[in-house]
Amino acid sequence: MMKTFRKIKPLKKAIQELERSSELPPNVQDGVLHTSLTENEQALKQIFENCSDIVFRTIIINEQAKMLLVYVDGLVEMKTLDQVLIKPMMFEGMPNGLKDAGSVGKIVQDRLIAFSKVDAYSTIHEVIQGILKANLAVLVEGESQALLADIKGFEKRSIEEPSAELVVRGPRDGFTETLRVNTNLVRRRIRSPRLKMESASIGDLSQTDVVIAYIEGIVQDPVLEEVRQRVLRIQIDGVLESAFIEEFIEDMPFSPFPQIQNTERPDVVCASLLEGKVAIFVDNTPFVLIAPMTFWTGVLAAEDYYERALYTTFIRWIRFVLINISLFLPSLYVAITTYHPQLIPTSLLISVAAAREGIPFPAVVEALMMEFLFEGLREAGVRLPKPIGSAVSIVGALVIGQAAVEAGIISAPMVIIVATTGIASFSFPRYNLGTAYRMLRFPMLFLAGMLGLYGVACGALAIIIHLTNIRSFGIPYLSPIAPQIPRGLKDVLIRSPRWNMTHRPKLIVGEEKERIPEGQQPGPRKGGLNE
Amino acid sequence: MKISGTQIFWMLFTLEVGNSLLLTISSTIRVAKQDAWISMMIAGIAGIAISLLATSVSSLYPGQTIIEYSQTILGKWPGKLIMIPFFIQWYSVIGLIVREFGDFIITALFQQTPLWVIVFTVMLLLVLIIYQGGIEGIGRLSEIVGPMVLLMVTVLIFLDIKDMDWHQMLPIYQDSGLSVILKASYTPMASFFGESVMMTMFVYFMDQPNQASSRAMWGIGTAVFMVTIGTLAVIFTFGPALPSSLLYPFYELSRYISVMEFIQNVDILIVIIWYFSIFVKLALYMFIASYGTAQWFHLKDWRKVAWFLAPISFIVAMSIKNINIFAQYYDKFFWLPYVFPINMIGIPLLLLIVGWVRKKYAMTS
Repeated sequence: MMKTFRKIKPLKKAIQELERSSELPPNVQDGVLHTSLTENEQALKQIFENCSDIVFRTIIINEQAKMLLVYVDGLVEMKTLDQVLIKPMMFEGMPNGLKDAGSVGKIVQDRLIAFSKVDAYSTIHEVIQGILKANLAVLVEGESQALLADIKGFEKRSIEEPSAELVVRGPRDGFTETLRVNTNLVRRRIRSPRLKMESASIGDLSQTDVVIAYIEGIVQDPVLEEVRQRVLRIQIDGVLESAFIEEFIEDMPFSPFPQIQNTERPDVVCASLLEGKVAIFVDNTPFVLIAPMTFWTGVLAAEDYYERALYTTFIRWIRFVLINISLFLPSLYVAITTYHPQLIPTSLLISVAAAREGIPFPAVVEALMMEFLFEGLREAGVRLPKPIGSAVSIVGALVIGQAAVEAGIISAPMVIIVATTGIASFSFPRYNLGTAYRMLRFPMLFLAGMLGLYGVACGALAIIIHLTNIRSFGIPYLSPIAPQIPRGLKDVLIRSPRWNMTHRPKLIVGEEKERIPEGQQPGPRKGGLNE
Repeated sequence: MKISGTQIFWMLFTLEVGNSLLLTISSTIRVAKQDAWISMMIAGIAGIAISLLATSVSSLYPGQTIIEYSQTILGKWPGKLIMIPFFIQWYSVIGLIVREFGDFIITALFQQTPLWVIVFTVMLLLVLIIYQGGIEGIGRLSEIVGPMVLLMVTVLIFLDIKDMDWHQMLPIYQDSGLSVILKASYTPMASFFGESVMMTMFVYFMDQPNQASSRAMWGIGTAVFMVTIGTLAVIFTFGPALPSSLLYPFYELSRYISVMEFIQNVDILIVIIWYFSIFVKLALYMFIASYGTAQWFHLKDWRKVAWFLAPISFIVAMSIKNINIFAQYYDKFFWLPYVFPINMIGIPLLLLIVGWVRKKYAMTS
């Protein structure tokens, strides 16, 4: 199933050339730092020409050594910089002068810069990258090395409840736009050295940090290797959201069904990691990718595992029914009223026929119009600014729900059908699978309008064929239903109690297949406690 | 492409049940009257025997399909030539099944829809499944369709229980006698349960070939059980005389259902689920025909054969004037005297004996 590596595209070359020509002015063509501070300063200033947010600050310590600090204004923590670095250096300086130690840089690194992470670099390219990644660069007169101190201090959003996946019971922290915060949220939940986080930076211009997280021993090595390869071979100018990565690494790009899960919830990521999946964190977005994905992860909510097992099983079945309603109801209505009215009980048929009397359109046109309007309303509701948003629902309810019916343009049963479908399509716990169903509704309507129930059956068959053949990183999309894995059904058709889910999903997990030891079913002590 | 034992089970079950329930009950009851269910069971046992034969010949050379091991056993050209009857069977039967199915859909659902539309959509879907999935995809599809078929038949029979009268099956054995029962079992045996000879192509794809015979037997056994129950239900409901004049007695049975004055007309459901089961059968034939052809001609991309097979089947399906008469002739003059004894019993048996002797000979020398 693995696709062959594509050849490097010409875009990459163009970007590289652009980069080379703009970054390195003629006097630093070799890319190595000079010993002369003035020359280095000149080179850097030339590179950062017209970058008003780059600060160059020169300080002289004890009239002996001249130092240059370079940083991006706002990305480093100014308060710390002032109090921990500049103030002591300027007022106290080097107590013993320069006499007893050879290199100025060494003294600065060992004694003067009081930050936990300081590294020395000698090429100008590394220094530039360091500065752009919110480090403070320290250059010293007479040194051909620069020190990079990590004092990231930019503004970040605080941890809030994720807005896309709500729960009644369960943790309320959600990912933020900061990569480190996100990985910390996961690390806090899985405190094991076996939780690995490999990092890479992707995007020729954006240099976005990407972290691939997995638990060693649980993850399946071929899957991990596949994820790693697919992520690392991406050639792109900038990564602005995890969707950029997703589009490059999925198996079937033209399938309506998402093959990689995304989530804003740390607990979902941890649960997936514990099942042997791989998570991909991308900087600057709260959405973390999880691969491989199966169809069922789109149907199961995080809360399913926090509520009681019996109740969850019940809700899950309601969800399964609603999912099918959201796909089939409008097309079934059209097919049955148009082609097979004998299927409806007579009394119901009479009232439907009475309601449809005087409607100028055939049922399929009516349904298409209504579905189109409904999707339009939904889109408008999402996109509009919040204060206006409620206006949309009022207009929608009044205009479509009542006025259109009274005007005899739309029949009342159709409003019921479309509204039911709409509600059903909101029942997907994960947004991206619901979009696939919303989209597929329209071809199904066409098929129903042309071929009646036979058309619906053909459409359903085509969808099933497609679903059975999608793979996500080598894992069949419909597993454990097809291919059938009897043990896996414990977490799909029903939600088995936690003490009964003794094994991790068979196809996804690598080595440690057992999740918990058996025989932990709780119960009252025999004979009773108070007897 | 690897398929599991469970997939073999569901594949054979789906393959056998859908078609047999709809098409064989009528003709079997015509001959054997109320003892038709005994005929079905005999046919089923024969089907299990054929599947055993097919899997045991395949397990002589588990790394090869019948196209290959026939050449290993008999030599290159005799091995190739002996496959020709199979190709004739495969190439003709796809069009025939599609046509039978198209006619059924038109009788059951439509009045004015032209036949080619239905045949064409089925062909499109067949090409889709061949291209997207191959045998693995068909296996997974049958894992979804199979349980649906099982559920449907069970529910249907349960809902009909109140219309049944078990006295209709009496007297057992008295009216017909062994020869008549055997004669009646010939059609379902040859045209449906004998199709388990397909296992000669499937064993090669299994991840655990040693499971092949047991899973195939279970699959056919379950199918036979369901078909026997279905035949009994038809006899209980309509008696021994009426079903032989009905075209699709089991379908008529579903139209009988009325629960609480609300669950009525569920016949549409049986049409759709039957469609799924027929589709699995067609897909399997399509797959073995394409894969077999590619192996026979040493073509690299077996999927491309589907583009050639689909138009042929389309033409076959459309060129038949009257499917009911044609299907009878096809059964009477081609399938029963040639396909059943030659393809389903003769060739596998010959390959088994020669292959076995060869292996024995190779071991001793």
